[in-house]
Amino acid sequence: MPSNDTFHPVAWSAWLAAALLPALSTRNPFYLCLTLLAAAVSYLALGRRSALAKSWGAFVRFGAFLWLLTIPFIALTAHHGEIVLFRLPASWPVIGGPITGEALIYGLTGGLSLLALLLVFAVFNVAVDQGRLLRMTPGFIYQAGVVTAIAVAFVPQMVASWQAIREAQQVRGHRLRGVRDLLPLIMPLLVTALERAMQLAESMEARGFGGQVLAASARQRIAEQLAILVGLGALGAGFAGLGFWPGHRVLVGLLLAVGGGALIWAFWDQGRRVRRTRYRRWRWERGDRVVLVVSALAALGWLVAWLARGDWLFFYPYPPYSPWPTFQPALGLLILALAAPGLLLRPDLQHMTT
Amino acid sequence: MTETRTQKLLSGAILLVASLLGLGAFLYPFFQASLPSTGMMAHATDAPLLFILLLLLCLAAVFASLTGRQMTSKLVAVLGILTALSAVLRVAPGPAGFSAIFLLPILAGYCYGPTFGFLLGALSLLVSALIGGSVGPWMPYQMFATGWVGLLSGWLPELPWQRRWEPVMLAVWGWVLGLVFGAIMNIWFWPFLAGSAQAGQGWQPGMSIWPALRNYAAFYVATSLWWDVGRAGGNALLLLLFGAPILRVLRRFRSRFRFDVVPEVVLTRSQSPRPQ
Repeated sequence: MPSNDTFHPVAWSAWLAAALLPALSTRNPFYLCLTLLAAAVSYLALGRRSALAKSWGAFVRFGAFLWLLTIPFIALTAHHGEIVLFRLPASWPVIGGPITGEALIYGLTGGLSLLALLLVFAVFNVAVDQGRLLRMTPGFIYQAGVVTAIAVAFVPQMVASWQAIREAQQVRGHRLRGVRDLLPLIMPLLVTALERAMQLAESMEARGFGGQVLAASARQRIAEQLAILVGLGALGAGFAGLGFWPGHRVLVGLLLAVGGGALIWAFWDQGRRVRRTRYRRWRWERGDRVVLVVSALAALGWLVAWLARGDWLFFYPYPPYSPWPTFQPALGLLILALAAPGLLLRPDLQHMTT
Repeated sequence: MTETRTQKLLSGAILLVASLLGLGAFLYPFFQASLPSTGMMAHATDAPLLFILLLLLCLAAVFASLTGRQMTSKLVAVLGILTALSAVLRVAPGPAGFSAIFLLPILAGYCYGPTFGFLLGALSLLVSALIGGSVGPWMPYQMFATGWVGLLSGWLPELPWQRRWEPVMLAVWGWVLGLVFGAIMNIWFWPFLAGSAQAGQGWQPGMSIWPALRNYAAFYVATSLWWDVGRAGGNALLLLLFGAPILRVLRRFRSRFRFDVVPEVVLTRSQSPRPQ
């Protein structure tokens, strides 16, 4: 296979997970701005060649709209804080009262975190190859992945069918004047789709579909299902314990470990019964490995800081906390490392984007 | 109790527990009141990350449970094609929050059962996000919520002797689901936007449940109620106008496909493989 035109979906998935950590776990504006910078560098270098590049603009506009909406919304309605910028007449409903610097900062950082979240996903959307991503569906949800892949593959045919049916009905004199006139379009589309499903099922059978998932004994299936059930229950209790039982850290940790372990075992056991073959393998290149390793290290570093020094990430401008955010250069470097996809762009690809 | 029933029971239990956890992940802003003050602020901003993670795990567990055995080619094909159709219907234009994406999960869930409805609803959102480049933090929430639309529709009583009332019942159902969907989908971003608890619409860590509910109700009415009324009205209209003919087609094809969507099938030696 020739040089890949983007990084491996696994590398991009690792990048997404690493970039989501700061976007979702802090409201410190310095870290959020660095996350935005890393996302923008990655998009500018890699994203423009994607067929879905238009979605970047939509995400940016939507995020900016939310941000611009959030700042005045919070600044005008939250009258708390010690830094009073000015006062509106108290008789004015909702917005009357002191307008504080703390509220302004809170609105700024709240909207910024939402914008960072949106742009990280926007980069992922335009950069990753959706078809290849679907082919990576883990074994334990392999069949859900097959259904999704079929659906993605058939969407263009559905659109083409819609056009064909519409033209055919127009030839017969059908005009779209109201909702009721959609019936002669929707019904043939549905019947065509279901007929196509029948043909697809027959062709799948003809090609030997059905042998991908090895049969499990009843006992094995029950064991897997029980493990999933126990895993979910323990994880649920553990998550509740994180908030409600802060004094029982060992118990909470144990519940999370048991829950996670049970789920991992069930997923592994179910996944190993799936036999898969690949027509074409994605070749791992140096850039893929670098992005994967850098993202994993950034995520790991952030997680360690989160667990060991939660105060580094914490920012809340209202009293008794300081309205001025702190900055740890090490955390900043971790986030900047997420610009790696953009910085690793090969010269030939860089030429293609300009 | 036969083994098949045990497995069905376990699949149902997994769906129930995952749904309850998913509901908890949606509703976490209402349950932070009991957090002790020392830990509360430190974890206030972690919560969205943790609950998105929990939702993803729940979705993975449900998909693993429902698709853990070999599905028949007919089931895979019908689910895949209807998912594509539902994803295409999502882009049908309409006023306010109108979206035709609920039409098929409601009708297919009602006709083919809750498991099929859940899978169709959840996967429709996934496919729609993949083809439209709209994968975002809202996606696990949307997948769960639309999955529930199909799941709950599968629990509606069939009206074999009152076929003409089916569209009316489904239209009312679609109207209710349209509003409920909007009300719970707003919760995921409410904590991001809100810093104005005292102003009557916002959220802040440590709010007790009743003020939080009151503030959320005010926030919902002020921001998206009219949008959701458009969605609910669109659902009701589509189901009223197209519900009966679509159900007729789905029922006709159900007998043609001859599948019965059940979470689990155990084959004994005396049974030959047959479509489910």
